[in-house]
Amino acid sequence: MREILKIIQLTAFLLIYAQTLMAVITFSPSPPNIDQQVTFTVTHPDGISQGSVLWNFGDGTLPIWNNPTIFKVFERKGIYTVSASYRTLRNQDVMDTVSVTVVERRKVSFSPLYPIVNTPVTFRAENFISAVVDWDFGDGTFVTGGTSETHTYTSPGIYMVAAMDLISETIFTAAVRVSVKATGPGATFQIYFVQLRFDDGKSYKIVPKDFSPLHVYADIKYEGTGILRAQWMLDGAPLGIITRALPFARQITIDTSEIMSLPTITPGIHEVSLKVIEPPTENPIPAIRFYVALRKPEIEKVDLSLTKVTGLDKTEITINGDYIEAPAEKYFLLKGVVRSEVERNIPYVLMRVYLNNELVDQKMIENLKPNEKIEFETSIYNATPGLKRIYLTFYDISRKPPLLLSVRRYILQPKEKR
Amino acid sequence: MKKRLFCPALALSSIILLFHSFLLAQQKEELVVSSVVIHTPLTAFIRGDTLRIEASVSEEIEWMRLFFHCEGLSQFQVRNMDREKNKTYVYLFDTSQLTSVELEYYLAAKFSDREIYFPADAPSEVIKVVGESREPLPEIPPDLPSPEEEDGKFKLPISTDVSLQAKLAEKEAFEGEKKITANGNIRVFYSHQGNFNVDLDSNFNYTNTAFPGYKNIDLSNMLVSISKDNHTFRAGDISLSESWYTVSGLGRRGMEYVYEDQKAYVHFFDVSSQQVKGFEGFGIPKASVSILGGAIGYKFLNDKLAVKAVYIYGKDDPNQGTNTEFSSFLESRKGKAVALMQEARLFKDKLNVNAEFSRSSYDGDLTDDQKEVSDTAFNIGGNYSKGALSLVTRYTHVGRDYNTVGYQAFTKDRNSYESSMGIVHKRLSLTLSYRTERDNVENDPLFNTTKSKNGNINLSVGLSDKVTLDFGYNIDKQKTFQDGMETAWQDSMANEFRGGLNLTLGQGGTLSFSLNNSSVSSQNYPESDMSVVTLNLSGSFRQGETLSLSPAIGYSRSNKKFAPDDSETYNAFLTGEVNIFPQVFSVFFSSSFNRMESDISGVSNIFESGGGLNFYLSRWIKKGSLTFSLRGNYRYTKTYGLSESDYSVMLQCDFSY
Repeated sequence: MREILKIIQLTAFLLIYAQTLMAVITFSPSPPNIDQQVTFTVTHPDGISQGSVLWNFGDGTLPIWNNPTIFKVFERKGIYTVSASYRTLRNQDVMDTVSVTVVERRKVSFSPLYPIVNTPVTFRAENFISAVVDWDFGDGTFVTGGTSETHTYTSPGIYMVAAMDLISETIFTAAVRVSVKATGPGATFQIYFVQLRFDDGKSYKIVPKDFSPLHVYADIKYEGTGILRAQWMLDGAPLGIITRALPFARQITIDTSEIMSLPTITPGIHEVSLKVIEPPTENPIPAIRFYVALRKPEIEKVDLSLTKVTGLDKTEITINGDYIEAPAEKYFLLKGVVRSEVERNIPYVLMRVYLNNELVDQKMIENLKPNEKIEFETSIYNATPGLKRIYLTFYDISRKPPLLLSVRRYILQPKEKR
Repeated sequence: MKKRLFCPALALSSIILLFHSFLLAQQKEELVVSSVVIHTPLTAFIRGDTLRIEASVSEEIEWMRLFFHCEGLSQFQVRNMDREKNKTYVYLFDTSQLTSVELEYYLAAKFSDREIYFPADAPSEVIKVVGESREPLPEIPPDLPSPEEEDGKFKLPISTDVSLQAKLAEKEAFEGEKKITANGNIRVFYSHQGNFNVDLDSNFNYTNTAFPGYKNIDLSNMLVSISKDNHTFRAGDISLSESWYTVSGLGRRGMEYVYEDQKAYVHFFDVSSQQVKGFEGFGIPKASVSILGGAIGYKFLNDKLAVKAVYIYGKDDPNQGTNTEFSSFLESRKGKAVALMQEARLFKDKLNVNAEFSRSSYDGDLTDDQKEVSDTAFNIGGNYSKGALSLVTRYTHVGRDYNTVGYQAFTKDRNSYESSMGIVHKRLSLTLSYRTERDNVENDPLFNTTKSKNGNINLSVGLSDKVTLDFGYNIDKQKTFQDGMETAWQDSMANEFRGGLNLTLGQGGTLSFSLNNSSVSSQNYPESDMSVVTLNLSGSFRQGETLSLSPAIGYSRSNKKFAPDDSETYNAFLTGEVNIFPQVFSVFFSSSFNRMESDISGVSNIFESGGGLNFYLSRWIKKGSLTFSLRGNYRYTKTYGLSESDYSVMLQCDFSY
């Protein structure tokens, strides 16, 4: 019974106040610009009498009585709480409010971004309210014209261009640096060329989950001298900021390593881009993508390098890439270094050396730490002439079943063949 | 003398041989002598210790060797023993990598006319030693297959990755948004090793959210490699690096043939000049974006002198490239270049003298009426290194019209001289360098000449295995001249200080701090004076399989001395994963915050946070890896007073096989 009463009370409340809830103040344009005329309209389902609305714009001006629709110009940017107090045709007193953000979008832009002498520069008065603009090009030239004008400078320099929006008589400026040459050390500091890539030069890479390190590189050719400020972006979110003093119009390569290895925790596709803050660039730099796969890493988790291969008589034996040229019917010694790329200590690593299918040596490396280098030495008897394969395998035998960390293959070829 | 030593030794060995078998059975440290090799057999050892295995002989020998193996191995390992004293040979045997404490060994000595073993009947008879281990050694799995057996097994030469993401809820959908996004890869690979080695590796990727102008399916990686002895043919994604003035570090799609042995080098190639889209560029590249050429090199005088000649010819159109941002004045172009290089290694490689001379013919804009122009570039230099010290010096000239299609953008019209000195001693590395440089190398009176003096210091100090400090300072001073007189138009002074601290924190943890303070000023145009300070602190932390964290925070402050255009940027980023039940269930998260305060643009704040739950289902499927993720993202931006927020909830499925 008590619950039924509560429902009835709630229904009555909604019936009484629902119409009030539907009262609203709308405005256009949204968001309004400084000096731009904004139209405010308040509506109520019960109707509002003309001239019975007290408008308060929250900008320090006095409240005024006016119609439900009113025009207003804000002179400063900011967030204003606009209220309308009125009595409905059913004699209900209501006050509605709305928050209005006033912005300044007017600015002067020009193209090309890095002008040179005796080449036309197009200036634009963007988002100006007036269609007629007074232009001062900074070199003694004044023009009353439209929102887009073209001007040519005959000598290099930094020019302060001013454009006046005649409706509010507000002046907007832009500094234009005009240089003699478009390229070279004397040019205005600018990015001439940028290309993003991974370490293999490609713009797409697949990495296993938790892969590290993953870095993106930006090959940059710049002109002039200046300071580069840029943000590396990952999936649209800023990852970190980098700064470089770049003198004398050269090429450089920057990468994400001074921020961090790109996170590879979340499977799926990810985007990396470079947002250049300084100097201004004409176009955004295209993003490149990497894919984090669930599959097990196929990279070598143990980095192996053979430092020396010798015969037992200490004669040096040639290693040519994956090829080892050793004489037949003799022993030879392999000396090398292994380095763990696994980001944890491995209690027991079993290293095995095979000649074709035959196990010739095995070693136990204890407590192998990340990036720790361990030297090893093994001997192999090359019993017969002919092509053979040497395999150096590494297993984490702390795990069950053992985890194969890497396999390195060499081709053993007879020395006489060369 | 020989005789005097030989007689007592022979007498002693005769006596002891009578008790030979008895002594071995007792395994006592007593002297045992074969016919002419005297050795005290090991009776015990502790794994991890370095054992001194010593033997002496009664007459001159060519060598003495130790043959040994552990339990479980049939083949013997062999090591040379070093001659220590007169007729005494020693091998320091590091036992820390032995797989068992049951060791068998024997010795062999090469006399002028025969080989003598110890024990005399080795290898059928060997010395057996049972040692001890401080820690119990793990059992070596008996069923580990050999790599050749593994290679012999059939494996499906295909792997796939699929990632599907469905939006379950979101605040507001934007126009054209896809509710389900799909991404995937199919990798096809094959490897055969034999008389001919054949390797194939290619990846097709699919996305239904391709960048504008791109197709949904792309051949992202492709390489076919066929090699025999010193001959290799590759088609697909290859990398060209031939010389500084022709082509270097160019990773592109195309084909190449390489012959390389210890003396001769031959290389022919034809690659795309751009990173092309989709399936383009495989095989013979299109004529409009093709770089073809070759190189021949040879080493003389016992590899002390090397010479190489390179030729490239090609056309390029930047508009056909991918992920490139370039100025509007970069046009389609063509050119050819030839280069001759030499390198001489003298005084046991301590001194290296090298040079490159190149001539190019180049048209930088195929759309205009201007014909191609020719010019020259060369450099000559050398480096000397002895012990911790290295010295480098180089003179470089690049003509005003020299250019090459082997680079996307090339710095030309330069003369420079540089020299540097480096010292590397233990954990300290110091480099000092100085360079003078100028443009307008032809002294064309129509153009200004800008000259630069540049000094650079880099110091890296390893305070311990886990702590490294880096410092760097770079100064560059430029002045511009016309007709020999300094002009008031362009001058600059650039200073850059860099500092860094890198810490390794135990297992899988790193912490890096970097500081960069850069400034550029001009006497004639101080309006452009600017200084920037940037700090970055980042780390990577991993606790086994349970926790991984990657935080980064950054701050940058830019100050323009005579312009109201200062700005400050704050940046924070954190991503991580907590495996609550490893390989079953984990929580992941990623958040970033960026605040930019600018005198001109005002204040903007961007906050983004995401996270979710991963359910790993791999153990319940027979093949591959499978994960379901429930994830959410929230983004809040407030730019120039306008605030916006957005959220979305997604279900994601990832599969790899």
